[in-house]
Amino acid sequence: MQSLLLYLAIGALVGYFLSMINKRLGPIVLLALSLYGLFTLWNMPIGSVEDLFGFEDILQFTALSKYFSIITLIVFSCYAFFNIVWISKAKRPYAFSALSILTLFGTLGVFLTPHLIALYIFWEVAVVASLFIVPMGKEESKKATIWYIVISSIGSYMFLYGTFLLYSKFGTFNLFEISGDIASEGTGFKWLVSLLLLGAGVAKSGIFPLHVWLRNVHGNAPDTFSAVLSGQLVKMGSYIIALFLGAFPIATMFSQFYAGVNIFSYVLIWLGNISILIGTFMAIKQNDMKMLMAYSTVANGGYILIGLALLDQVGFAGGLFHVINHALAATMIFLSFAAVVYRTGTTKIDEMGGLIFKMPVTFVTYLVGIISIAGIPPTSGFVSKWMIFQSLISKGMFVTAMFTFVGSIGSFLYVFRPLAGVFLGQLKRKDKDVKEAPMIMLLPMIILVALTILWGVFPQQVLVWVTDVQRQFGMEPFKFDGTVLYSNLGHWDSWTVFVMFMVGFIIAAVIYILMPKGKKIPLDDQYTSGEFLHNFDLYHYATKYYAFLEREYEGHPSFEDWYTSIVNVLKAIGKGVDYLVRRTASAYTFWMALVLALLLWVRW
Amino acid sequence: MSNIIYYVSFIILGIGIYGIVSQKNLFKQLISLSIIDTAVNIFIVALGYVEWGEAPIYSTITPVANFVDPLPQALVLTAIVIGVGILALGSVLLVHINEKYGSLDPDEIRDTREVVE
Amino acid sequence: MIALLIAVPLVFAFASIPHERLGRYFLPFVAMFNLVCLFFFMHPEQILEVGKWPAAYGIALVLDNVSYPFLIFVNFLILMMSLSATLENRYGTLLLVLTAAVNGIMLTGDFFNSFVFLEIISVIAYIVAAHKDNALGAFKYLIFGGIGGTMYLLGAVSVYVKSGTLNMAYASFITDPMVVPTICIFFLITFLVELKVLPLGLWAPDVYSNGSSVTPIALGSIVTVSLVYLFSRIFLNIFDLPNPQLVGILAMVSIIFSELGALKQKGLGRALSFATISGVSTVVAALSMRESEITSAAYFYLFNDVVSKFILFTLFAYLGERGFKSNKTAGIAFTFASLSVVGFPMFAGFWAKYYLLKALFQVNSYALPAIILIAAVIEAGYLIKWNVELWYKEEDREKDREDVEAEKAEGVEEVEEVEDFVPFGAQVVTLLLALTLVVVGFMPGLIHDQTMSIANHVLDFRPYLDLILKGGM
Repeated sequence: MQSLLLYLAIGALVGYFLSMINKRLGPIVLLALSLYGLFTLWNMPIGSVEDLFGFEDILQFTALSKYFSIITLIVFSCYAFFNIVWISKAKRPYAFSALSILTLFGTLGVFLTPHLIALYIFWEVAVVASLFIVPMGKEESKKATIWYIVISSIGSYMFLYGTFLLYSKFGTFNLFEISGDIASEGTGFKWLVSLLLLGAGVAKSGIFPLHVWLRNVHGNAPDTFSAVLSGQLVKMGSYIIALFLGAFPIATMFSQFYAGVNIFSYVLIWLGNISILIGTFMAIKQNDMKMLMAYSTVANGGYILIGLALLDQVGFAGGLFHVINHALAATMIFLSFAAVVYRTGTTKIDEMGGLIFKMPVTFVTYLVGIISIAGIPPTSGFVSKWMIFQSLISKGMFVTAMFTFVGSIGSFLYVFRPLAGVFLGQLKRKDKDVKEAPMIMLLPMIILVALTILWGVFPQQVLVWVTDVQRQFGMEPFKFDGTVLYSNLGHWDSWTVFVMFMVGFIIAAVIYILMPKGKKIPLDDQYTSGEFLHNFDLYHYATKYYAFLEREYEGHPSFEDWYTSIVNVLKAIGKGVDYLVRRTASAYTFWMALVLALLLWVRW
Repeated sequence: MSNIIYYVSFIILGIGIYGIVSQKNLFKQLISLSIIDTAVNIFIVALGYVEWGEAPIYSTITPVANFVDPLPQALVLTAIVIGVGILALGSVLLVHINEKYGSLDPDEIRDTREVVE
Repeated sequence: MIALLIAVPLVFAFASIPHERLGRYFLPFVAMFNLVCLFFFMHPEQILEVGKWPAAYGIALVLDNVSYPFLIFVNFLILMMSLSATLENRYGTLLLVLTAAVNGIMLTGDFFNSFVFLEIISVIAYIVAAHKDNALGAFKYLIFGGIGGTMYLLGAVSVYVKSGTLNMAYASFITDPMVVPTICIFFLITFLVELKVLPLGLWAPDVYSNGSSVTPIALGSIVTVSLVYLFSRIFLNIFDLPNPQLVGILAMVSIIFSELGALKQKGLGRALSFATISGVSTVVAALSMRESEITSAAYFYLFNDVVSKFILFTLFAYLGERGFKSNKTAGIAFTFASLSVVGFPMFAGFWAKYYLLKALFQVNSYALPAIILIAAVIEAGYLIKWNVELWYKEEDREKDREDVEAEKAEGVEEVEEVEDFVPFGAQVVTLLLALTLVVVGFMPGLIHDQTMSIANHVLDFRPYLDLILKGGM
């Protein structure tokens, strides 16, 4: 582990200088390092302990580390592969490559250490490195950077405060040493520490009320980096949540509240519910495909949180499984978007259309991605959602189940919007000459598609990792046997389902081939009836796609505005301070007299 | 008798502080600062005063005498010099301000500055 | 021997009077001379009684384990400033006198002597503050500082009246419970003014934001460090700080309000000025706790804050309206410094925050850490905003410049100026300091050992007293 981190740190420098020779060398270095990391960590036995830079036993390879590192490295490998071509569009290719490697260094570090301060250091490295990539995107990305750093700092400083609180009580920074003793502390202390430590996770994984940065940052960051942000950096938050919920004896720390769920988890589950609701409804509204997926990330963060907070045999496993599903799906979707933007140059849904024939592979990637996000078999997204549902229903938490259900339905709606707007519908005139993305871009997308379907049909490999985590945290591991998954309420055989789907698919294909072909007409003619149009865009059916739905919640409160107004209030106070500064010396003397009086008065 | 001098210095100090707080004109503020300085100096000299004391100079006439404390006087000398320096420096600054804004009234200066900004 | 630290700069200051620019060339050599003397010929724990008068009656210059590292740091800063700043006309002479006064205030063991040095520093500070035609800001400072100085004089004289001597060590024998707090409050007011704790530090933003490469560094770095030394000497070593809680609360209020003030600013200079206020207020808040770990962390924090602000202010002075695209070195130094101020890992700032928080939590103080972290969130917001804005500024500007060039054909000169807007000296110095921050970020022990030793010595009054008694009576 130490050598891997060392290579990454050096790799950041090497990547920077190699990029100067040839831009494409930067992503290649990242790819090589990710593959090397994937290889080493895949084969590393769980429980290995190593020193780091002379600090003893800082690195500890837990089952959770293994699971999250593998997800990270898969995402980064695909991202690096994709970048080999895409880098030619990057604004500052040298810094872009170097900072990408540094981001990987930081996130892997986070996953590999239970030492809270070391974890915080790696965390901030990842944040800073990614922070300076974000403003390389669109024009608004500079503002997005501020959102990013402020929300992220709120989270990480909460974490730091909580860490020191623990340190002042227990005298150690090692999480696993603390977790045994914490149950005996006072209720207030336990609440405070748990909330503070989870603050970082909540902020990072875009859970309500700290979800506001996702739209700005994911929407405006450089196109491929959005894939890492949504597919990987957000998962750092999920890791923190999983780590603390798993390592702390949450169930014994807090009293039971409802349906066998303790009060703290219950609070988290409600945060998850609200995130799902906000994420889903806001995603439906978005016209920018990247911002749409950003809100989808909020909603999926909610699923993960609910799954993890359930802390039981099925739900926790479902939450963990959903992490990898969403990571893969989000990466796939954002990479396909990046490919689309690479060719068309826009992210607005209503400025595109009909790309299915021009970019078929990209379309398939997107399709599989959204199927996974919407949780339709045979992709792996279904498996994890099924597990979370099972757990909720078996506990009798029907309200939460309803939220997750609404979220699922909503996800059908919002993922369909880019599908219909970007890939289906009529081709824009300006996109007549668009070609499929280059082969090097397609390859990582195809790999991701293959993985998603593979793990949807044969989820054993992932489930082994997940159950290892559960075992390590002393939970009852999730039961599965080959492709058959068991819960309290029943079981699910993904192989049977896959076969059924394939049979259905083949029947449909046969019908399609046997039936007479439709006649191809220009798509405009379908809705203009051959009339002459002055403005085609208004008649583009992706314009105001879900107007009928959006109308229903038009005047919704916006947290983004709300936070902005808080900042404005703070600035108003600052203006007051500035006003005082601009006064003359006589006013200053008044202040001096006041302080003098205060000092004298308090004494006697 | 000896206490009066303390009261005097405190009254002068009060006048100085009142001057800084109440006067708008920057030059008057500077003068008020100088008045505060003077008040403190008087106070310090008064500390070393001894009733019916004599000048602290050894001579054949006064080998052992009721000397006043010489140290505060020495300190005050230094303090006066510093005070004068600050007064002079403040005046220079005021001349610059007057050249730049054409006034020593803070309200007028603020108006000018807002125009400049 | 130790008197040389004061005498040599003064001699050269006088020597530089005949020629306007001479002082500027003397300054780096004098600073270098001081450093060499400190490193090779002077070692802590020595005392010089001026004119052979015993300590109780005369002035004693004391070099002990507290003042020694401070002297090195301040002279190092002076050396750096002499290389980085653009010194016009007689500023070299001024700064030579400042060097003498700053060294003096850190060496002297006599209250009245320290008052004189304090006033010399102030007078130079007023003049330096008036740089770049900023007479109004300087005048505000003069009134404020003038009253502050008077308070210090009152304090010094009260010490004399009560103890019969002006010597700092003997002053600690005053035990009258009515008198000691009064004396301390007199001193305290001066420090609150000079260290810019907010209600009394209102002068600072106007003075620091004048866009000079001298003012904020001479005042914000050099004078501030020497006054933090004097603050610790008086309130940690000799007397007890009066109302430590109230001072702590004042400083905390100052941290928050100055950050809010910085948040609102539209200009970088004023934002940095407010950030400086917040930094020093944090140090004062931490020092008011009077606990060795916290004190050590406070010095570490001071080190980081002073070095980072040095970089930020220097680059701000040369930056004008330009961004970093044409000068990446400056940009990197600026970014490193701002990351260090906020306290991101891998920079000195992280360890400053780490040690401070750790020490504060050890004594169960929970309010100050929360305030520091809230301030850090705000600070991160606006400093990163400035970084992003400056890094990505040129893209818009390049177009403008092309237009300008098209309009007037002789635009070549302008472009050259833009390419290299930070002088070579300043560039080397800022880069060097930025690297220092990184090195300390990886090896915090370098500074932490020093600050720990200072903190242990400053909180222990015995060695200082012994040192002075040995030479005295």
